[in-house]
Amino acid sequence: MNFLRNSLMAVSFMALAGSCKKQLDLRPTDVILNENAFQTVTDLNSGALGVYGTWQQRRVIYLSSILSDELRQGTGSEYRGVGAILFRWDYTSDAQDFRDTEPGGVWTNLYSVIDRANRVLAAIDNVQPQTDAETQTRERIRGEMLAVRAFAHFELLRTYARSFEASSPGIPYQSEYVQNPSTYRPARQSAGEVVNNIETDLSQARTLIPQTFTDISRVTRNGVVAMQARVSLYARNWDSAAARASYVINAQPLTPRAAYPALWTTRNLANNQSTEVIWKLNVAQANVGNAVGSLFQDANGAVQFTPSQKLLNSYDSTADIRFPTFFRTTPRTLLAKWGAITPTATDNFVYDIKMLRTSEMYLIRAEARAELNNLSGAASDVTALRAQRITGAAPAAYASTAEAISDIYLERFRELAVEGHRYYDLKRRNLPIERLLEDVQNNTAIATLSPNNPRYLLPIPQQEVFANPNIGQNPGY
Amino acid sequence: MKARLCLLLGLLAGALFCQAQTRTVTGTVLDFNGLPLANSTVRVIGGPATITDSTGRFTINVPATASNIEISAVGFTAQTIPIPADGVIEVRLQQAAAGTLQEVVVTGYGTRRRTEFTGATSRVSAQQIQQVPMASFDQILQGRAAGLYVASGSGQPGSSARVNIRGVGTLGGGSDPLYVVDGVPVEVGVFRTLNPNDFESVDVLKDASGTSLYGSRGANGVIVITTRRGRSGTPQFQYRGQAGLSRPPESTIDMMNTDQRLQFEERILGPSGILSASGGLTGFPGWDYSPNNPRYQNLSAAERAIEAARLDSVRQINTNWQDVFFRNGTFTSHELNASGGTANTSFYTSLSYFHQEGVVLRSSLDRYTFRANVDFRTDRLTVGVRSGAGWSRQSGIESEAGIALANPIAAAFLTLPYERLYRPNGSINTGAGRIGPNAFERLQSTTSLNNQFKGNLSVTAQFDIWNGLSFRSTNGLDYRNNNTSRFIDPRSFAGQSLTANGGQGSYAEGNSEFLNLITTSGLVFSRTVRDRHRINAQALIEFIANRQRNFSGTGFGIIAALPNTPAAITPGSATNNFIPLVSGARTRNALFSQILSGDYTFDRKYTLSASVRNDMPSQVPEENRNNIFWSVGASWNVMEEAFMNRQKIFQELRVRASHGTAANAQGFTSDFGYLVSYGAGGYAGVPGIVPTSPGNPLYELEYQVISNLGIELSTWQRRARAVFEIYNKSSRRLFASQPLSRTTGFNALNTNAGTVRNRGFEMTLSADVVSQEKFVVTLGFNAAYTQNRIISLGALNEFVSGTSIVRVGYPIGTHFVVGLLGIDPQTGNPIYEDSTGKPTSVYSASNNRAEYGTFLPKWQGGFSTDVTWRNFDLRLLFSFAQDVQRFNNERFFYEGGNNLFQYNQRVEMLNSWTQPGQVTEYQRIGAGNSRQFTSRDINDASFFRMRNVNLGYTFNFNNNKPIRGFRLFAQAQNLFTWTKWEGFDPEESNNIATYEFPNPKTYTVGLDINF
Repeated sequence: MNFLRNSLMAVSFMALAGSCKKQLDLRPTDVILNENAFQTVTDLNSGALGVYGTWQQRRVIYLSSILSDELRQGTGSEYRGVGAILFRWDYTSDAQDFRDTEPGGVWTNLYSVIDRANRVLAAIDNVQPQTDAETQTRERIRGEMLAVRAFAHFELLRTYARSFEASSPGIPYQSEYVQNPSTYRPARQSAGEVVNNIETDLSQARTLIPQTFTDISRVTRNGVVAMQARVSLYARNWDSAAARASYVINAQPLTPRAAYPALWTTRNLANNQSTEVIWKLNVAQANVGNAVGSLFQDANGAVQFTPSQKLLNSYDSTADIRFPTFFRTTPRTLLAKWGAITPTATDNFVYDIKMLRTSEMYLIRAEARAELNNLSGAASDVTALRAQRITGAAPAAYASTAEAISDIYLERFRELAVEGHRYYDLKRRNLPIERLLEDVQNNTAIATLSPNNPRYLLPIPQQEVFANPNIGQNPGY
Repeated sequence: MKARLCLLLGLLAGALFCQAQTRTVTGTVLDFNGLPLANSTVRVIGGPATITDSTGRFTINVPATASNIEISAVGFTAQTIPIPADGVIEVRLQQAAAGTLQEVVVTGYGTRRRTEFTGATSRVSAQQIQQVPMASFDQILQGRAAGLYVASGSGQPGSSARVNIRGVGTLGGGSDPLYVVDGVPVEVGVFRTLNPNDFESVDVLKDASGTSLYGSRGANGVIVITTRRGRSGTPQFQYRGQAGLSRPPESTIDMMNTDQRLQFEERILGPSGILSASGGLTGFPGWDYSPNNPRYQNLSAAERAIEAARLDSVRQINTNWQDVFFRNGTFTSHELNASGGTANTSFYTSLSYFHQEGVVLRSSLDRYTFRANVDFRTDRLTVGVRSGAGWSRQSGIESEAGIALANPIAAAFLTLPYERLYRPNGSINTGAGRIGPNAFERLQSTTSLNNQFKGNLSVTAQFDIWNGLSFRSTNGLDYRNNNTSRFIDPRSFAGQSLTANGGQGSYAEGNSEFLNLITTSGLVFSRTVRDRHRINAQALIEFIANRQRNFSGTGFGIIAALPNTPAAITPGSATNNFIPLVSGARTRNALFSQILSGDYTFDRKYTLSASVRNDMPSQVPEENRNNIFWSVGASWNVMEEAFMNRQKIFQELRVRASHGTAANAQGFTSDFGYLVSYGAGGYAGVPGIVPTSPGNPLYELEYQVISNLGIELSTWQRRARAVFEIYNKSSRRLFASQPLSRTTGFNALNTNAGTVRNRGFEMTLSADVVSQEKFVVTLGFNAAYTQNRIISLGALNEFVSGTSIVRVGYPIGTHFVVGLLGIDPQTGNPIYEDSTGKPTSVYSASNNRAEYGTFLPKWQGGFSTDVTWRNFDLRLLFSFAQDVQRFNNERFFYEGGNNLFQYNQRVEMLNSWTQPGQVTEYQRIGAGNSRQFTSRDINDASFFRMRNVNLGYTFNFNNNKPIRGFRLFAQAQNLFTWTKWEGFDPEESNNIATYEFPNPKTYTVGLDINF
């Protein structure tokens, strides 16, 4: 009898325990499932903010300024060797600096931006707006994402392609997010195809973003047009470059000389289109890792890079408002454009990153006009810019296109210093990188980099080549 | 609610079955652990005999004339005892001499005689584990069991080791074995709050007969720990104490002293030097103040005198930075334990304190543990309660094992010798770029504490239903809470460098919690029929739930007068920048299983075993949730055959084989890794979402098939014993992180692909070379050879993982670098190898080659010598690992890497190439000639180490009062190491040397008193 009772209990226990199986249906608490990610326009906006937050323009600036003649390495034991192999043009495709999370990992970062934008774009038509306002917001977000995607591809193209000539090897253009990443191994498109895709996306974005949208921490219509202007400049479409630059110049004027220092000392610029910032990426304490200044100086003040003497020499140190704005000279020379720590002033380098400015539009238009042989037009643009920067600047006047280009390049060197332009400017005209001997401790081996040197063009990061043999490495690596 | 119900069910059911009955003469036979011992023979002297059932119980009719009863069992020393008046007997059989084949095997799901177990196992006994001055028991296992590779990665007190059983069978998953304490799985790598002195035995299950029982958790092998149980009788107490000292090991690298460094600076910067710097100040006194510097010519006599004085004052400083950061650490431990009980209950309890300082400043561990194990029994019910709890506080160094200048081990190597530690006013000479002083100040002005609470609890109830059939239920939990805190003093250089958050120090505190709940219940059957057919069978269901959560916060703006407390935090605002940081996460997983297993032994000669288990883990997509594992095994005890009676060579001889499957579940990157998911990713503080995982709808477990063949024998009148094993283990559908084209927006996909094979053999030999009454010398040797090979990668391309390559035909962890042939005597430039091995002057990552070995040893094992002479005993343990190649990343920094100027260099760098014809290992220093990572940095890390030596004196008093006896001993840990490795310590848990905390040499004296 006892046996029977006990056996029954054992059997019923086994049956009961079977219900434990239901315990296996666990749902995650810490992640949002794909099917729930984008359900409302607010969700789409969250996704768009995620895209902006992903973009680390500091990486582009890091490569451009260290490779070129804008900076000089730190000295003594405070220099930790940051960017040393970039500065010495001594990199291989597998160099640490180019890896996923490193400051030179432009490839990884921008394709991540593109993927995230594509995911928002893929979800956008499944979201049903509840009001007209939501409809407008949704379409604006579509425009922003198209513009971000296009401009990220532009940055990749100018970093990893030898030139913008139509037949030259470009990069893969990602028009939608990848559903089966394990088998996705794209080859490069030609630069011409990439530029066409960029132009298509930007022109669509231009119509989707209303002129009334003025949040400069996101892409506005002016921002799209400024992007178009820069694309035209690199693609040497001079007429459209001039026209697009004019559009932006008319919409957002230059910041006058008196207000110029505030442009660089204000950590978080307001959405005020009277300043010349067309698009900026916000930096706050929360994403301090995106700040630019910390690339060049450590939190404890140790200097990794200082402005090159060549850059310092290019300014009139008393008349040019940019000199005291961009640099500190006492007790030591420091780059201050993105913040600086001095014995008397601390800094956390939290400054918004200016992506597009009206002064660049002037210089784009000047260059386009010079190429179109409108030398007086070019001179008037340079003069207009200098009037807002240099006290008593002499008006520019050019006798030839070459002279104009050379002067415009000087002004780009000064105005756009350490903003991610210099290396690309030299590269798009096939000009050598030339440093002063005093900027390289008289080491002639690292004073000049000829465009014929394979190191003049950056490698596709080895991590990509290993994962995707179809990509095709740049020559010389 | 359901989960809780499930867990309670087992206990409830056990309690309800409780009934009482009486017979003529009854009794229970227990093993040395107090576990019921089935199938032991109970024989009335000059009368009948019977055999104990699965709960260790027997009933026998005793003739009125009989007075004694003999109890025997395989693996145990037989005992004869008088029959008591009440007719109730409890006998505890002692384990047969260690190292013999007459052992038992504890599988965690039951106990088997070793002679009837079909699998490969090794047992580490209490004697080998106890009173070793290391906090984490896994470290103590090194060299003790064949096929068990234990590599200590850190000398930080309390850190755990890399433990691999029979090689590594995964690409991206975990390779840790499953640890089971008294039937409850415990968290991997968290052992510092367990007291190894509480362990009775450690069984290592290496093949399918043991691991397949654990299904999806068994593929990396299983380590089954049994804690001590009380012995019935008068309470016996024991005090155990130990004290000693840890000393840092000696580095085999000599760094430059000040004279050498100044000479070096002049060489590399001077005009005849290679950088040919001239003119301005470089910041390096060796060149700046040198009379050979061209600027010297332009100086006035007074200026020259000043510079000469400066150089001279620099020359006076010669700091030995290793002396600054290393120290001798103290060690103390105390323990009190007690054991006792009545006929039906017994207890074991212990209290311990353990204190150990590391050999690097600030590192230490303090631990308090408590254990209470209670067993009680009624007529048909046996209940065992195992409970242990402990708390420990670990104080860590900065940036341990990091390529970081705050890491004191890195700072000890790399700080320039002419840096001063203190300024003349006595303050620490901190400042930008001052490596040593900054690292030293960090150790002084910051804390890094980890307080751990760990609790283990299990209750096993077994109820005898009928004739060998019992119901058994084991329920338990493993709980761990880590409270980490970190304080950075606002007055310190380190605190003021926190510019991002206001530059006034910080205080961080976090909690992380781990909880494992398990219930295993079902029917077990054990019976011997006519002394010839022995049957064991089990039908169990098991449910495991795991929860983990963590939360941490960092506050800023610390009030200096309140060090090391969250009360010092200033609330943050947009203006003061003291915005606190908080973060956290939580996750859970579950596993439901059904288990059937059984074995049958005929006539003590032939054993067949089989098991089937279905595992349903929550971490895989629903379609992949049914996973069947199985095993079969057979054993032939040759000695029991009649024909063996004619030979005199062997006293024991047994052959066994097993084959079966298991899987590895330690490799899911998250509990929900199969799902496409999004997570938080804001824009400058504004909340947003970003995709976090591309998801994988095909995600599944990593499967393994393992076959094993073993022979066990003894000869020379059992004085020489040997076990040989040969195995083949194939792991398939491996957890792998497939690198993705970055154009997908992701760097890697967590997937299953490929096959890795481990095959090898193991041997365990021991011999009593001297065996006299008062003088015994036993030599032991164990060794394992492992051949690891990637057989296929499935849909994956070969890929680079860190500095290694995952390539078919090569072992896991194969280094992948460019070969270096040497330095060209004419140019001083390195001569590399191209991808085919031909010399080239060009360094290119596309010339990386896989010809430089792996960090996983081919051979490893241990030697032991145990000598007993009268009351003295001497025990020696040596451990070794052979054919180990590790990437010495440390070299790059002191052999002319990027930071030649900033970091001190090894003395040999003075021999770097300067003139044509010079033959040297050290390349020309200069532009366009960067030091690259090459095969030069892959170094032999094989070692042979005297792991432990222990000399003891034991004395037992004749009258037991007040003290029964004592043992006095002295021991040394890691006394000698023989290696070619350059640095502090060849032994390490991973493939790359990154200034790890070296293993110390520890010397202790100890006393155990029994009373």
